[in-house]
Amino acid sequence: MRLSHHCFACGADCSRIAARLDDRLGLALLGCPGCGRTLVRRSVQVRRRWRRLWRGTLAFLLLVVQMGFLLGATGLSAAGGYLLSSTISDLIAGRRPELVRPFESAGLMVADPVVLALPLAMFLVVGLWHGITFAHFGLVRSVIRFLVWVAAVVLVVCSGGSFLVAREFPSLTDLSGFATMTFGLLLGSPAFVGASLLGRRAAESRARWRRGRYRRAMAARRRKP
Amino acid sequence: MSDTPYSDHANQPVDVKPFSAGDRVGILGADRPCTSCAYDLIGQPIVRDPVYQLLLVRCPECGTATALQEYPLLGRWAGRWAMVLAASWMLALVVLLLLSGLAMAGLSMWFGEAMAEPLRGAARADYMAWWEERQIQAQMQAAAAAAAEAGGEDDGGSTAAAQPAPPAPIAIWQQRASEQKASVEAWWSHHGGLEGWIAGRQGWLRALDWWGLGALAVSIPAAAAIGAVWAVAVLGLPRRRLWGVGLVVAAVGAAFCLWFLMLAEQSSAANRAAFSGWHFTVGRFADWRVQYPATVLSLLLLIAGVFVGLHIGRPVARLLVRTLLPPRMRWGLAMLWTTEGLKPPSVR
Repeated sequence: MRLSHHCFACGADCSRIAARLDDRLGLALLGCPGCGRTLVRRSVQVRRRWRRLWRGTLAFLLLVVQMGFLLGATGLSAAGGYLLSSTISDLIAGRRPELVRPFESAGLMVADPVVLALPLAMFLVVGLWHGITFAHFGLVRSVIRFLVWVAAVVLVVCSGGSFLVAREFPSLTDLSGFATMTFGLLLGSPAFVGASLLGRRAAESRARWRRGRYRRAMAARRRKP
Repeated sequence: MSDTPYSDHANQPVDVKPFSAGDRVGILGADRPCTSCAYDLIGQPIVRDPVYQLLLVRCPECGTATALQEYPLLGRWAGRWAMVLAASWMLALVVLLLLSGLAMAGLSMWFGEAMAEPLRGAARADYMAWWEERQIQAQMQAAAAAAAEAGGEDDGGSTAAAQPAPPAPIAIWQQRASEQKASVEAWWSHHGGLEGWIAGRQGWLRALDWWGLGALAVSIPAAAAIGAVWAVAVLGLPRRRLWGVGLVVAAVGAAFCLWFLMLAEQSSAANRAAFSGWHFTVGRFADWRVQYPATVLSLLLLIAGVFVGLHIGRPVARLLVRTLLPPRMRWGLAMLWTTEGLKPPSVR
């Protein structure tokens, strides 16, 4: 449905007249067919409010989704760090990694070093998300901040949890899990940074494509008679 | 607008001349954001464009021309929709208020009940131990009586002597049901009071309930989150007046908590009347000595958490938006900045 647009001087209906984007002023202009005055085609306030509301709702939904992703990425990084560190220490000590057991119980035979792929895959997934989400921040700064954030969350959970479960699981009070996880985070950070760079590159190329599309659309609008 | 007719149709290309300021016809006297960069154009000169005779204001920041030509709204639906939206928002706020109160009351009750559980459990264990012992003795007596009947002997005196003697508190309760308080006090002193209770459990940490501490550790951040949600939900309110919202939320939470406590008290009294177990008497003792004070204490801590959330809610929301949203999307939530007179973050 076309929005109504009448000339304020003569009342002629201008809604069916295509506006032309003026290069000099950057405004969408049209001439009134009745009196010849120049009019500006503008979005009406109602539509502008709806657009603002829609944009706010979208931003809010994206924020909620991103908070969920942040929570998931934090848990995945902590688990990846812990698994990577403990698996490597098991392999160095000549023990069978504990990570093999779930595969064996599922009837799968895997070589011991192959299970390292699981925590590394976790780091790759989190790194991709990190690169896409934090593309507007500097790489080094955002990587360091994210790793510190994960370590801080795990420290709080470990210390709080160990205080609460001291009666049930006294072995957790020594925070050995936190140390293992932190070491694993450092070990897995190259994979994380690599995936983050990939994600960042993808986000940048998408933004470039969007800018190009906008530019092409504007150029086509200017060419329109 | 001047009456000068436009020489050529605006849809036809015109000779593009370098921008000239045009005739200055006045000064913009009210707030009007630039359509490109949102800079406030108040105080900028209004000029008449020499080519199109349009009234324009140029943004001093980005140079974008903004036409002053506006069209009034003639339809009624805009107003109707605005009313529906406002009513929906009010309804959502009322539901949020009820949910906040329910959550606070529920979390407080969780902590209170968890704190009273060790006391109730100990009384239940004491009573059940005596009860089972009595049952076993009764079975043994029945078996002995049956054996005596089969053998043709009469040994009634020995069965009476084999009855287990109840512990002192239960004995008091059995003798005089009206003296329940004395019975509970006797049980409590039998455990050595509070000090004896803690010593018997090898320290205060183990005397407390694990779930209770867990409940508190979860509840206080949850209350802060409730406060933060409210701080963002009532963006129109200045930050210095947010304490009023905190008081309302606290009042609703306290009302729900009082209601829940009354329901718990009724249920506890009904249990005592319906069941004959002595431990229900101790249950009421645990209610008044531990559960209700712990619930009130927890509610006060949660209210403090709500106020902390109200205080830090908006800065935290801004931090989350700045961190997690791409720059272009931030503009949709720019009201988080503008309502407090702050400059919105850059969209580039």
